[in-house]
Amino acid sequence: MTPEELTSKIKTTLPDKVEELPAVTGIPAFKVRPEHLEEVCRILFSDPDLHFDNLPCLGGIDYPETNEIGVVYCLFSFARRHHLNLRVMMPRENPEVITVSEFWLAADWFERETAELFGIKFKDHPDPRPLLLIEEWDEGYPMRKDWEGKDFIRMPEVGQEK
Amino acid sequence: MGVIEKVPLYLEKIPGGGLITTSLDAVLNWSRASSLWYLLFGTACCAIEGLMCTGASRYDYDRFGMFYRASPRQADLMIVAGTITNKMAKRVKILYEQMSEPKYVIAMGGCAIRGGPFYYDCYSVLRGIDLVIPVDVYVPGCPPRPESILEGCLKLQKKIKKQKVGDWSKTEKFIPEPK
Repeated sequence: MTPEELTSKIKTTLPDKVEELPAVTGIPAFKVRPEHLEEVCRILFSDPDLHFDNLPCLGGIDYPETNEIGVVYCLFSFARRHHLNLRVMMPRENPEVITVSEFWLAADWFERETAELFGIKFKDHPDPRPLLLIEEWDEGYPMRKDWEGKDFIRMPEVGQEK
Repeated sequence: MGVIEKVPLYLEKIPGGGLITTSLDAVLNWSRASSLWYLLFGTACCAIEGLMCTGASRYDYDRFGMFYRASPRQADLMIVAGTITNKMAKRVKILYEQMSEPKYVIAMGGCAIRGGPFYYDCYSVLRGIDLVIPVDVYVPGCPPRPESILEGCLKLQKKIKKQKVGDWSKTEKFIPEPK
């Protein structure tokens, strides 16, 4: 399916559940509200025309200026050869979203990583242990933009080096 | 190691004993420097250059009697090749402690020396392996060319040939900076 066909197909299948974002990289992108995510993912996964059977990438994004934190889902369909980006935005205080690992098993570790580095809670995750950081980590969520740790050294501005 | 360290104490009391000690030093140091077996482990891209490429036939560690051992119990030399994360640092320390004396360490590449490109804006990388274990030779580069790491190994061999009986347990006195 071409990106234009995919965009119109998703708009007709999921009216008022998704909100179109500019396709910066040529891949259709949609914004989903956290409470609609499970339904949207179920339709994307099971609809025979959309048939998104693969989740190559899932990651967090942080916007301290607008007090928003989010998760980006990159979807791909081996059967139909098309891409899609989904974006869920939440307030930075206590962000919580449903897990998608019931549709795509790959989301299991991606979500563990995102939960550990961004502090986003994934509801009903099958295995919510930490994944990457040292075992006794207690310094918060290092991938947030305003994070400062004990041993953290920020890159000096150009011309400001010691 | 305990018995050999006590040899000079007895030998130096008898006339002509110093000659024997010196010869013993020479023999032991020569055999150590000529059979540096390095521990087979690499944590990042430096391992491709420093262990795989230099260990292969074009550059060939084996010319200097160096050969890889997959067990720390049989290894004399640890080439810390690459980025050491805080999580990996504990494992590297355990590997180092498992190696039998005398043991030597080469810090290879910018990451193992001082954190390299991960010095700034990083939450997970150790800024220098010498915060955790003592280092004998530093080989700078990102990554160093095989010639550089071979030069580092030759430097280490020179260092080994200068040491005296009883020097080997010096590394036990190493106290790393508090992290």
